[in-house]
Amino acid sequence: MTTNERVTDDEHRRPGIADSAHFRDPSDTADQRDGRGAVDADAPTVDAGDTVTVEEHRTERWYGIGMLALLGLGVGVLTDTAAPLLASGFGLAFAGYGTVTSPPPVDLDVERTVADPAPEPGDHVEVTVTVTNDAERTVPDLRLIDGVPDRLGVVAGTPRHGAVLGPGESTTFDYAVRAERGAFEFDGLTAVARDVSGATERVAVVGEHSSLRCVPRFPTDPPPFPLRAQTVQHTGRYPGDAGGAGVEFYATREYRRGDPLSRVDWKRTARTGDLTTVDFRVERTVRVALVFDTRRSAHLAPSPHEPSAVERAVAGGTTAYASLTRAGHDVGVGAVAPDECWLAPGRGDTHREEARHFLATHPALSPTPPADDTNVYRATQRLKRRLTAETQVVLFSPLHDDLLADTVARLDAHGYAVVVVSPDPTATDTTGHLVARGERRLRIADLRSRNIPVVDWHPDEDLGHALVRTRRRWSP
Amino acid sequence: MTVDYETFDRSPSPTGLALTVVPAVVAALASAMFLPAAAVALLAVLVLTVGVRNASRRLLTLGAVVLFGAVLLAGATEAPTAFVLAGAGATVVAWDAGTNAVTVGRQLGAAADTRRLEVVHALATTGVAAVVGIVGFGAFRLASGGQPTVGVALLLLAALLFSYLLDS
Repeated sequence: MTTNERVTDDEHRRPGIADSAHFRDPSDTADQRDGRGAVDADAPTVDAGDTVTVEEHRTERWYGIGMLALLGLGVGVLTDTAAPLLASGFGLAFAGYGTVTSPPPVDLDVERTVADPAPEPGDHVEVTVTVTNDAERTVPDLRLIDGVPDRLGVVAGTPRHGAVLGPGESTTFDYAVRAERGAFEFDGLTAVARDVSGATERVAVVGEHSSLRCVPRFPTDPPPFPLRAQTVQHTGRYPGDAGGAGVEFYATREYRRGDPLSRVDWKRTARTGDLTTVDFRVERTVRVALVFDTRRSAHLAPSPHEPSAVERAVAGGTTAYASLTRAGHDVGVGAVAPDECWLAPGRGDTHREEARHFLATHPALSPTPPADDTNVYRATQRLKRRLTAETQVVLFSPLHDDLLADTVARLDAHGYAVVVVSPDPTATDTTGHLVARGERRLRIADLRSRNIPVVDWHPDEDLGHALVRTRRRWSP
Repeated sequence: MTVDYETFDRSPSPTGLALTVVPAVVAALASAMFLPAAAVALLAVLVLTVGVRNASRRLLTLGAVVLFGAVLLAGATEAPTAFVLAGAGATVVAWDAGTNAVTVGRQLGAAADTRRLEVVHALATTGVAAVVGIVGFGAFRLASGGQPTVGVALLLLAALLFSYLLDS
């Protein structure tokens, strides 16, 4: 592989610029990963495949210094003294200084090490960057800015560094970012190299791919998540509201032809002479779809420093998934979002891992608001095609507008049992916010009046507490 | 829950401030032979300092021009030539270090480690200024020693350099 092939932006190349970044065998960085790299098989990697684009321009910083020469000459001639005349030499010399220094070489090798490529949310992850000058000459003025992913905040140190690098010398700097839920790619490192006078500046982007994948674990002891009453066919663990084969006594009824003999209540038959069958409470497996409202307008928070309703919803969804699958249900994931987002209901270890990564990294569930508006009608239609008739829907929405409240009512009317979990994003600081808060309360009251359970989840409360509080007046 | 994120402070580093103020003070001292010039120079040092603190190139340039003027003023009276040359050189070094500190601050921020970068830059400029000062002073001594041929030769050299610069 030659250097030229790796320079993606050929337009910016000028003759004589020796630029390259170095392709390294991924294996030579693999050992720098620490032991925890093995947690996720598909987690990342500090890896090679560098590209460089170089742009050269003059900084024009010495322009106008010649004015000092004129000033000196003028004062010298007017006062008929030698010293100012000689001082004017500085003006001339520095006007020429910028043109005689040659542009610096940009031939850098960048190596970035992410201490923990698979952290938990909130962890501080140390990032170490080493830059080596592979050119034959010294870079007298090198300014480095690392490409930290936009959504990750720096919590310690700074991703910027200044250095003077002789041939073969290297410099190292480190900083720490706070891990957020999601998958992140580091951008290339921007290097600004100046010659010794600062007259010429070369800007290069040295691509060094590293990624960070922050996938929250499921809670080990999730609170029980309530569902609505269910009448379906598959045997499972949810106590259904119907009689049949099971463990718990449900009712007795008249014998019908075909009833298994083991369920005939012989004592009662002996007493009355009529055959009677005992029905037990049937336990069902329920298919549940966790649906998230991630429209742009749903990215709301009481204040800019608090997690948004979507962020809380996904965290709540993670808990709900853990709780519901533990109870033996099949759980899937969907979203009311501009783009398709669907994970078919299931359970078991494979599905669990799949769901964990899906919840953490699917673009539709990202903490960043989407660029496009969502057509709620179309998103609902898409969702309905995915939902089988007996699937229960757990909808996570801040219920900040009527549109989604109507959708919930419509889904419920179509026979999908809906439970709404609504992270409360309202604030009380302004009159407008108070009105929005009131409107949201009315929407919740309206849904509850249609017998749709709504969990109103306050910002400073954990989901388990909100569920218990709501369950006191639960009417499945 | 609030997280303490690092914010980007784009002000120039303390190193840059020191590298600007020290040569500026040297220039002011060099012009101190003439009292009015010293007063103007002191004002200029103040402007330069404020210029670096506020990352203002405009104030820096203003301060440097005023400082240079003060040095010339001292030179036009009775100050020794060596002092004037040292003062003029130090003025250029101060302005260069100041503007460099502003761009470094803008690109890398105050938190980044930029000491070596700024010191090397200032040393290079100081070196050039020293060479210019020594050559100028040497020419002055030789020419004032009653050897007009040296003066003519230097004039020719200057003309050559000038045409080279205009060409490039």
